[in-house]
Amino acid sequence: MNDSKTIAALDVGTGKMQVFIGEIIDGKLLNIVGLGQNSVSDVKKGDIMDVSKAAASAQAALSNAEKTSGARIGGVCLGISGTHIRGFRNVGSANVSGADGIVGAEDIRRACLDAQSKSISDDKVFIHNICCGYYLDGEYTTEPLGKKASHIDAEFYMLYGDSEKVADAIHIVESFGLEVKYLVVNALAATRMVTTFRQRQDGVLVLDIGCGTTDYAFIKHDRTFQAGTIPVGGDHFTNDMSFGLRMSRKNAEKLKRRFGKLILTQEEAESSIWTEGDKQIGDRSIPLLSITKILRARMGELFGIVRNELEDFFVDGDVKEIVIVGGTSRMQGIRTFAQEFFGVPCFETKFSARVKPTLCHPEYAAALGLLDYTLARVEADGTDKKHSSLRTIISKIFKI
Amino acid sequence: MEQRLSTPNTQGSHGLKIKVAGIGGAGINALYKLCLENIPSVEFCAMDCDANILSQCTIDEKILLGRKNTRSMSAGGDSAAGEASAIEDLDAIKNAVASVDLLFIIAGLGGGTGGGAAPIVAHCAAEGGAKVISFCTMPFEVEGAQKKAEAQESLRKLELESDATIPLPNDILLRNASAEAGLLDAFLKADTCMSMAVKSICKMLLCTGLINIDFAVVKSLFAKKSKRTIFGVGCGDGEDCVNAALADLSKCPLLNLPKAPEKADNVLINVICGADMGMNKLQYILESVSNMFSAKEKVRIGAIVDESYKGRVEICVIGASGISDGTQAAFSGATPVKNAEHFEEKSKHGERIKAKIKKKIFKPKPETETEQSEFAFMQMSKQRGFFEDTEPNLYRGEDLDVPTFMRKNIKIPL
Repeated sequence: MNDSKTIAALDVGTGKMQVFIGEIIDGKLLNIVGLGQNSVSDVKKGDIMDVSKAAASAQAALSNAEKTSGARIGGVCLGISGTHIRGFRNVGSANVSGADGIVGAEDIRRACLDAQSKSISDDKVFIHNICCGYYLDGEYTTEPLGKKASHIDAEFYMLYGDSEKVADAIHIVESFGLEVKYLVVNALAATRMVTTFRQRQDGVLVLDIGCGTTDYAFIKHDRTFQAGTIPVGGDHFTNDMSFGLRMSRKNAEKLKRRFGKLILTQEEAESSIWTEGDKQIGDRSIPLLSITKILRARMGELFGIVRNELEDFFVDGDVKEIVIVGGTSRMQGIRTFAQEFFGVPCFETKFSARVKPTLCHPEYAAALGLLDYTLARVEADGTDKKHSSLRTIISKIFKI
Repeated sequence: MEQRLSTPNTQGSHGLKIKVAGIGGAGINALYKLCLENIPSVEFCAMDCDANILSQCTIDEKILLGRKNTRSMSAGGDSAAGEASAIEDLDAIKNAVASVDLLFIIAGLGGGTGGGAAPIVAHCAAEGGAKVISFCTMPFEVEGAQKKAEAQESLRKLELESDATIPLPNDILLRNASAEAGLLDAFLKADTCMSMAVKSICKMLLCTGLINIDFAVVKSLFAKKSKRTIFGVGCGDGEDCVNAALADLSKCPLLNLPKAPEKADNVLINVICGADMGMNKLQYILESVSNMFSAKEKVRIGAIVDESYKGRVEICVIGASGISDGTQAAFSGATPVKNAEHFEEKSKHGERIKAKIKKKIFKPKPETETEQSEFAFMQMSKQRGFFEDTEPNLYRGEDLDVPTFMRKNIKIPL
């Protein structure tokens, strides 16, 4: 992949399919040249319910993107999410082989191989093996090479998914005659565009609260220590409102967007809103407090799950900051609520300076991150090696 | 002490329904051993997620859990899958434990079905008014910290739902074994221990003994929640079989768990002996065991004469320590308690789990419905709306697709 080549990032979301087309010039510069979107109805909680319908939606989004950019897509970086994405931590060990006790590349390689040697059942497939760092005689470091120690441990976080569901996601792209160049878990992608190097060094938790799921990733020492997906998203807030306020899902969604607030002033807590606003038949008054109560209950539960999943990091005070992106992050008062709940600062999301201001929307964080991921991979080393790892995944899925 | 001498009676206890439920692979294995003991009037029931194991099982009553959830395959060591499977087949479990007076649960914790389904079965039985005594094996240290942690979590849940919970750590059972003893020996030891205890209690209740103990006595023993359950068995043969049995009892590894209680509030001693056993010897056993546990409130002794026990005595002790004034103390069971704060913290956690299980399994309480006067809720499991056609979104026993405010009983003014 050199000179000018276009690549698309496809984010298969629960609410909509998003496609960004980026132009990679000389394997270095990334220029976003196209955007395509299409709503979907057959993805729930991040899981594809009907592959053919989802494929049709994705194809419409890809076509739109091609039209707006006027470019032909060379390959797709596919973002994957869903309840089937799971992860676990594994530690591999090796004794330092050199007589001088200096850690060599071979020692690191053996520890890493040992950490990645964990097998999973046949119906699962590894998507990312992320190195979280090393321990030299129990002391954490990110750069073990050349340091003195007798024993090295490599800590890996392994993200895996259901083979069938991963194959479905790949099929969506391949049925359009395109090749999936990279497969990336959305939780990791979202972190790339909305965090600074300092935040990633100190310890930052990125929450991408989408329509059907919440992806989370905790990064410290510029390495991902844990990532995952919680099957709760904006749809759950809407569904709760629909039940609690006894109205259609469509109206509940409209009210959520207009009046959904997690923090109320005293005055607001005593006021009501009209569902339609025209004071005609069917229009009714609803206390703002009711909406807030429903939303706070759900958000509190969601944050509670996140805290449980990352309990060790919260207890040890590793999480220094929280960044919230995704469509639901537009809910008013979410950052104040998060700050109160976790006891950790949560500021307004700031996108990387490389992103055009017109694209700085929290909903785009994952798709933009996918493109950035692609660029980083292209920059990092030759493409053959990268493609072979994806081929391994695809081969395993289809048992070629 | 309310003892009464009675003539040996071969008739069983009238109308008392005792059932032993073996849950998961380890539970069913122990159940086989118990079946061989030929205890009359006791029903056996095997529950597992694995259709293969159940198809090979010779026990009459079998319940396959989680047909949809695990597709009739094993729970794969995932206690969440075991729990979800039990919840899926809740009606079958309720039917199996309906009208049971005393339910023994036998399970291996740290695995999928045993760890996940056992607390649900205990909950259903307790709801139906049964007294629940759970025996569960705990994994070896070498099986890893994760398995141990899962087993502890399952034990906490089981303790909440059972009237008495007796954990049998495999490591401790194997402590006195020879160096050559392997895994099978430890499993066999655990199976023997559980079957001995169940047999002893069943015989005590079902046979009218030399000194009779009926179900009311057992019920009163566990009427109040206790912090820990004490359990031990000892066996002696020969001329001085009584002293040999007492010595064996004092060495019982289950009475020598780390920080095991030295004092007991209530103790029930059951002695199975031959016809040659005299009252003076029984009195001696009673005094010795009372001293052993410094029992301060109640000590009850029962004695069963079994012709096959000539020159042999078997002593089974079951008791409760740290009994609270009310029934609200959250924990029974023999889990070592570090200190008062730790216990309090565990209690709170246990209450939360119990509330979650209750909310998940059972319909909202009528009072809640009346409190929510604005409108009546449908059955909570049907409140999924947009997610109706998707799989339940289970997290720690709760379906996250059901609106949070409903599960938390938050009133929404309209």
